[in-house]
Amino acid sequence: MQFIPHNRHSKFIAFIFSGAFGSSSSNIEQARGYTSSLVAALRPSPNVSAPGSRPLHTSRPLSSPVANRPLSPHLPLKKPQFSATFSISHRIFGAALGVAIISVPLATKYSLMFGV
Amino acid sequence: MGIGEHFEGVKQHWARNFAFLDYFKKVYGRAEPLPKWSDADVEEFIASDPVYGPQLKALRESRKFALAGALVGATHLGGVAFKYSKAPHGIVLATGFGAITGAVLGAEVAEHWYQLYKMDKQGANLRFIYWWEDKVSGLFLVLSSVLSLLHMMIRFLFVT
Repeated sequence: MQFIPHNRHSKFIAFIFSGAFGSSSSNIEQARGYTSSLVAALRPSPNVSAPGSRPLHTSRPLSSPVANRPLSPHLPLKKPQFSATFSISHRIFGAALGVAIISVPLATKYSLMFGV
Repeated sequence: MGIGEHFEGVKQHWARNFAFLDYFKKVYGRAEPLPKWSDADVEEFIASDPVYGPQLKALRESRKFALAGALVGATHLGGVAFKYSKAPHGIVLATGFGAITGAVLGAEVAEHWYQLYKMDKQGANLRFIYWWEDKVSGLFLVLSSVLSLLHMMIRFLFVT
């Protein structure tokens, strides 16, 4: 499984994108399914037997029923606080500023070449 | 009042400093856009103008350098991403960014190959725009006068 950051920004961004993509399986949902099935794997299960051949993550293979489970709500419940709002808007503004700083001089340069 | 004159001077200072932005207003910010020109029209202008024609030609040649650089950069960085990572979005983004950086490098090579730093790029483009404007407005005048003459003749024929 790829590295998925679990900070509050990724929850916010994933919340936005889960609204965009509907309830199809996304990385965050798969990751949360992974963590909750890891909890299930702590209980004794029949597949964990030989010492050298332990399955990598869980005892159950990750399949589509895992990804279809609903998530517990976090963003619709918690009241937006100044620190969190400032932080994510700072990140969004920084990303937009980075895009502008890269793209505006490039556009100026290439408009001279490709304009006529 | 002295302070008003001072601010007028400040505004003129910054207008002079940002005068290079007028180029974009004249080329892209027209109220009625000029009719689209073809490569043949540009070649005609290059042949006609002895000063700015070669500059415009060098500018157009530099496009090939930029495109070649974009291809090289895109294949290289996309290839690196494909070799070391199987994430499809990563490969796409790496190809795009490689294209951008390769195009910048190609344009820089062309800048020194054709000595574009000695030329007035905005001036060369603007000369073509003015030449095209004059050519097209002449056409417009001829066409509109012919149409209005026809209109008058038809009305005259119908009245009598």
